[in-house]
Amino acid sequence: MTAMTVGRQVEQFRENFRIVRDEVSRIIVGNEDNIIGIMTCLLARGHVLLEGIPGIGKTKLVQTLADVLHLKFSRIQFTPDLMPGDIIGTTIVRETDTGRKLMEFQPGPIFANLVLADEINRATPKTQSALLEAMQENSVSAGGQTHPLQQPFFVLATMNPLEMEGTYPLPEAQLDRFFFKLKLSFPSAEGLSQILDRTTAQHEPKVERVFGQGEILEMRETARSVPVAKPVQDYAIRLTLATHPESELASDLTRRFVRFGASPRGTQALILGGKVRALLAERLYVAAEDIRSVALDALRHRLLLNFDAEAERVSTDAIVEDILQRVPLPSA
Amino acid sequence: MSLRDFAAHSLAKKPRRSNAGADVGYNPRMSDQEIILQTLARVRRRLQMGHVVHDAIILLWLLAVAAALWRVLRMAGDHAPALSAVAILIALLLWVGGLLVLLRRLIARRTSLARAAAEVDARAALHDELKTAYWFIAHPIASPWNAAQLEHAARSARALDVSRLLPMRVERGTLAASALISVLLLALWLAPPLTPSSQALAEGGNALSAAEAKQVQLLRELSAQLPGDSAAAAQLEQALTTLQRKEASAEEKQRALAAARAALEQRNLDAASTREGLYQLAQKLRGNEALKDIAAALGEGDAHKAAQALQQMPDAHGGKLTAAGPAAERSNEKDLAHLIDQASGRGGEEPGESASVAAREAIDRLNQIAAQLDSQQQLNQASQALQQLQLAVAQRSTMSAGRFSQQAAQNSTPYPNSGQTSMPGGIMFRSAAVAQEKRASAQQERSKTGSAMGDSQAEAPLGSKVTPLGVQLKKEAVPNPEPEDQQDAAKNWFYTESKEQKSVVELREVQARESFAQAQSGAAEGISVRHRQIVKDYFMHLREGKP
Repeated sequence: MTAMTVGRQVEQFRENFRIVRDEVSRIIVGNEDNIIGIMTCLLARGHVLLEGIPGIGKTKLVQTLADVLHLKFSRIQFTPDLMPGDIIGTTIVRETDTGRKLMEFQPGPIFANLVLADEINRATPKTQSALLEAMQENSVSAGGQTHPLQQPFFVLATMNPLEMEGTYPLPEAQLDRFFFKLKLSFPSAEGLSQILDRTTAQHEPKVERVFGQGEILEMRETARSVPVAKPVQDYAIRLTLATHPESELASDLTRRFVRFGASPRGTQALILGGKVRALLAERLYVAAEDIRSVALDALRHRLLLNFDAEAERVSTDAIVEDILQRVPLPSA
Repeated sequence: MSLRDFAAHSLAKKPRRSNAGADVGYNPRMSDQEIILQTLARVRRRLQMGHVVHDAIILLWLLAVAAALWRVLRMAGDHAPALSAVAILIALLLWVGGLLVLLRRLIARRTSLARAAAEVDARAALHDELKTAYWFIAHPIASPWNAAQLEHAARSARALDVSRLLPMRVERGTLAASALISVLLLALWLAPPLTPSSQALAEGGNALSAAEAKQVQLLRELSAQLPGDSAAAAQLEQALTTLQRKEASAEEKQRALAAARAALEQRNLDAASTREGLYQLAQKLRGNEALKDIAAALGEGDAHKAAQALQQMPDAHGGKLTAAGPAAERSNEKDLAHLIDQASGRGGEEPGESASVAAREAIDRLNQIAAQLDSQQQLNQASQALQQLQLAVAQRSTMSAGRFSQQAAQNSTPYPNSGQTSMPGGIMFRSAAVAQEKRASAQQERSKTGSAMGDSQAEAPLGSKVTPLGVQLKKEAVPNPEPEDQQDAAKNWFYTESKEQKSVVELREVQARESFAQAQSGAAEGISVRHRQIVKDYFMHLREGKP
C-alpha cells in the first residue's frame, strides 16, 4: 500500500459518507450533526444512545439509516414485561421430518446488523443487561452455546428524558457501553415546515440503498488506520483525566460536581471518534480539533454527577465544555 | 480526486498561506522529511529573531523607564528629599524586578523545532499538520498512512511563505507603548524644572528683584532715622552695602543680614530693659502723692508724658528750670529715681537751684528715653524688612532644606512694646508683656515666649519634688580604734538615713496613721475597727435579765 492508495481510500471513505448523509437527509430534516454522530459510531464500531422527546424522529432516523445502508434491521420496543429471551432468542424443541426432536436456538431480534432498542429505559435491568452484554461481547450465549452476532452490529438505543414514571434508568456502567450519547433537539420552524412538506404530501420521499455491509466494514478499517501522534493522544488522555475530581487536571467545576469521571472507554471513544472526524475533514492524521469535536458526545454520559450538581441543575455538558476550555491544547 | 489533488485544494482554501515565495530554497531532490525540517528550521530562526527584537524592545523600555524615573526624581527631589529616597528605592526595585523577569524569560524560552511547528500550525491554520508530521519524523513508523501524511505536510510546508507568516514587525501595542514612553521622556526633558537649577541661581542670584530693591530702600530710610552712632545703624548700613554688592555671594549676604538683624535685636533688648526700668521706677514712685502723675506715666511706659508731668510740677523747681550744665553732666550717672526725688524736693536738700538742675536733668533723661523708645518702632520695621530680605536671599540660595529652616527660624526676641514675637510661621502674641497685670508664673512665661525651634529654657519637671540623694543619705563613719593603714580607715563608713530624711519619713508615717484612723472611723456605723468586735459581742450576748 502506498500513499496514493491511502489517498484513494480516504477519498472513497469520504464519498461513501457523503452519499449516506445525503440519502438520510432526504427523509430526516435537520439533525445533521446527529447523522454524522451516528455514522461516526457505526464506523468506529460503537453504539449510540439517542435521547430526545417523543416524536422528533428518533426511530425514523434509525429506520432510514438501515434502509440506506442495506443492512438487516430489527426494532425492539422495550417494555417492562420484556424478557431477555425476547431479545436474544430462545432454544425451542423442534421435531424433524423423521420425528426426531431437536433443541434448536431460535435467534431473537438482536441478530441483526442494525438494532433499534426503542425506549431502552422501560425494560427491567435484567433485560437491559442482556442487550448491553451482547453490545459489549458482539455475541450471545444461550443454551450453553455462544452465537456470534453478524458484523456490522450496531445498536441504537433511544431514551425519553421526560417520562420517568415506570422506567428503569440505565446504570452508569451500562451507559458506559455506549460510544456516544446524542441529544436530538426539537426542530426549528423552518425544519417543521420541511417535515410537514415531506410527510403530509401524497407521496413520501423514498431512499435508495446505496451500499451494504461490505462497504461499511471497509470504511471501518480505513477509520482505524488513521495515525495519531503522541501529543494528540496525550491531549485525549488529559481530557479524560480532567473529568476525574481527584485528578490534578480537574477544574473547580469538576471537583465540585463530579462524583466519578470518564472510564478508559471514554478515551477510546475520543480517539476513534477523532479518527473518523479527521477523515471527514480531509486529514490523514488526528488533530486536537478532531478530539474536541467528539468530546461532548463521547464524555457527557460517562460523568457521574453528585447531589450538588443535581441540586444546582448542573449538566454534564457544562462540565465537559468547561474542561475543553481549561485543558490546554497540545503545544509541541 | 487524488490525495495530491485534495491537498492542493485544501492549500488553496487556506487564506494565510501564500504561494508567493513557495518552493524557494527547496532542492527538488529533497525528501518530504527534509523539506519539513528545513521549513521548521527557517521558522525557528525567524522566531528567535523575533524574540531578540522583542527582548531588545523590552530592554529599551526598561532603560527609558529608568531615564524617565531619574528625570522625575531630579525634578521632584529638591521638594521632598525623603519622598524621593523612597521613590528611588521603589523604582530601583521595580527596575531590577523587570530585568529579572526578562532574564528569566530568556533562560526559560525554548525555541525547538516542535515549538516552531506548533507556531506555524497556529499561524497558518494547518490544524496540527506540521506538528504531527514532525512527531512522525521524530518517531518513525513504517506505515503508508504516515508516509502519506508526511507527503501532505511537505506540500503544505513548501507552500508556506515564512517571511509573510512571521513578519519581522513590531506589534501595534508595542509601538504604541514605545511612542508613549518616547513622548513622556521628551516631555520630561523639555519641561522646566520645578526649582531653579544651581546654574540659574548662580546667574540670577546677585541681582535684586524690584520688591527686594524696595525693601532695601525702606531699610535705608529707617537707617537714616536711627541714631547715627549706634552699632545697629552701622551693622545695618554694612548689610545693605553687602546686599547691593553684585560680587557678594548668597552666603556672604546672609551673614551680613544676620549680623544686622542681631544688632537690631540687641537694640530691642536694650529698649525692653529700659521699659522694664521705667516700670520699676513707677513702682518706686507710686507711694509719693506728689509724683503720682509721673508714676502713672512711667507705669504706662510713656517717658514723654512723664517728662511733661515733671516739667509741670511747680514744687519741683520753683517755677523755673535751670539749664543743665556741667553739673548735670556730672550727675549723669545718677539714678533717675534719685533725680526725680531731688526734683520733687524729697532728696533732703532745699528746693532751689539743685532741685531745678535735678529736674532739668531728669527731664532730659526722660526725653532721651522717650526718643530711644520711639525709635523702636523704626527698629521693628527694619527688623521685619530684614527678615523678609533674609528669607528671599535664603530661598535663592542652594542650601539644603534643613539648613534653610534652621536659618529661617531664628529665635526671635519679643518686641518690647507689645511683647509679640515674630516667627517664620507667624506671630506669637504675648499679653501684658510690660507686666501691668498680675505676672504669670515662670513656667507660663517660658512657654509663652519660647521659640518654635525649641530654644526656650527647659521646663521644670512636673510632679512632686525630688530630694537629692545627698540630702536623703549621709555618710556614717565607723570608728576604728586602731586603723592599720590610711586606706582601711577610708573604707570604714556607710550610708545611713539623714536627719532630714528621717523626719520626713516619720512625718509621713504619722500622716498615714492619722488618715487610716480617719478612714476607719468614717466607715459603716461610725465604729472603728478596734471597737467593732466589742460592740458586736455586746449585742450578741445581750439577754433579758432580771431587773
